[in-house]
Amino acid sequence: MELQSRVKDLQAKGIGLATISYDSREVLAAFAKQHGVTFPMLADPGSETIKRYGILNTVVAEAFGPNKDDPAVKADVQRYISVVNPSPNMQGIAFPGTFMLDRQGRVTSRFFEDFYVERNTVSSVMKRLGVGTDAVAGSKISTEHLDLTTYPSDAAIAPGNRFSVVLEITPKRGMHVYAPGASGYRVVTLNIAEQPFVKTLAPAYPQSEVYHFKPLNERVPVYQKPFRLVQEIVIEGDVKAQAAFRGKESLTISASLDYQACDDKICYNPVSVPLSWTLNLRPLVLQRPTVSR
Amino acid sequence: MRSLYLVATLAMLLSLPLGAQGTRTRIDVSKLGPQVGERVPDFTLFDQTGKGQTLQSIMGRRGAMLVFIRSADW
Repeated sequence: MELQSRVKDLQAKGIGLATISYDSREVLAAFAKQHGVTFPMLADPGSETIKRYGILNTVVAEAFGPNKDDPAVKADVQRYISVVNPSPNMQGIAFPGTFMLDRQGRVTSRFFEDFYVERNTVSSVMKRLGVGTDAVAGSKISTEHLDLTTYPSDAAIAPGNRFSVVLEITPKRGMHVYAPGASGYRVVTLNIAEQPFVKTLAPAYPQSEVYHFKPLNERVPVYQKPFRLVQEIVIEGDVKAQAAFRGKESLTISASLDYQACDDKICYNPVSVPLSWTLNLRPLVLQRPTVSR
Repeated sequence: MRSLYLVATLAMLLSLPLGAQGTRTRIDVSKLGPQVGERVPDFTLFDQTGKGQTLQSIMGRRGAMLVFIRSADW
């Protein structure tokens, strides 16, 4: 269980951890026992807290309701409900997401995941990047300085494939982040965690603009308007790589987006945003179809 | 006269509201729930051991990570 592996690290940083879901205490107790979960998993059957947080997945009910054929409803079912058919017992689930909170309970950043990016809305990028026709899972993240949507170009890859991860970044009002060439500042960089058989190519940075910071009479390259970073990643396909991936169903790439933001008066501390993308692994060698007699 | 009729018809068609059938607006999950800078609602919920927990009780000394999951069951 992914969260459990992070518990020690979060404890060392003094950050509490809890999950909330519409499951009953009994369901959570069974899950926690099976997976050795040591952090609190909070039961919200009836979804009262989920509703108070404003993140009840209302799309599930609509999938069974009178306006289920409304094109907007159908598109949202496609986007927000898992690829298996929605079932009525899913009613009450939250839109999955994470809130990072300070000690006063204020949101310092939020990560909303597991919506499926529609290829036709980002088609120019997708056409250039990938040939897959699957919907891909995207994440939306907000910090004090910027909003970010990120998704991989493909939902499934095989060893030997190349794919990309896309970051669409919108600096918040009045903010800018530093672009390549800005010396003395943390240039916005996507740092992909090293992993065997996964290689990264040089990232593609868009054209930046020159910002004149009057208090210091400095001219520096920055991004102020929405911009997109594209990072190509290659999964090795040699015999060793194939053996390593055999039997594995998915591959998770972890990274951090490191940046420094300033507004027209002050510069904020550099920030490191954790990111990850999980892709399904297709086997390189297909099994021979069995022939029935 | 005919061109005036065509223009008038076009103007009338363009002024009809699109989606008169009732297409609702799409959901943007990034707009839902407490936003950066806002305080989250407090809660009192039982955890898997039957212990009552609140926002304060799950808090670490430097903050907390509150994760909403769809379900532990599927």
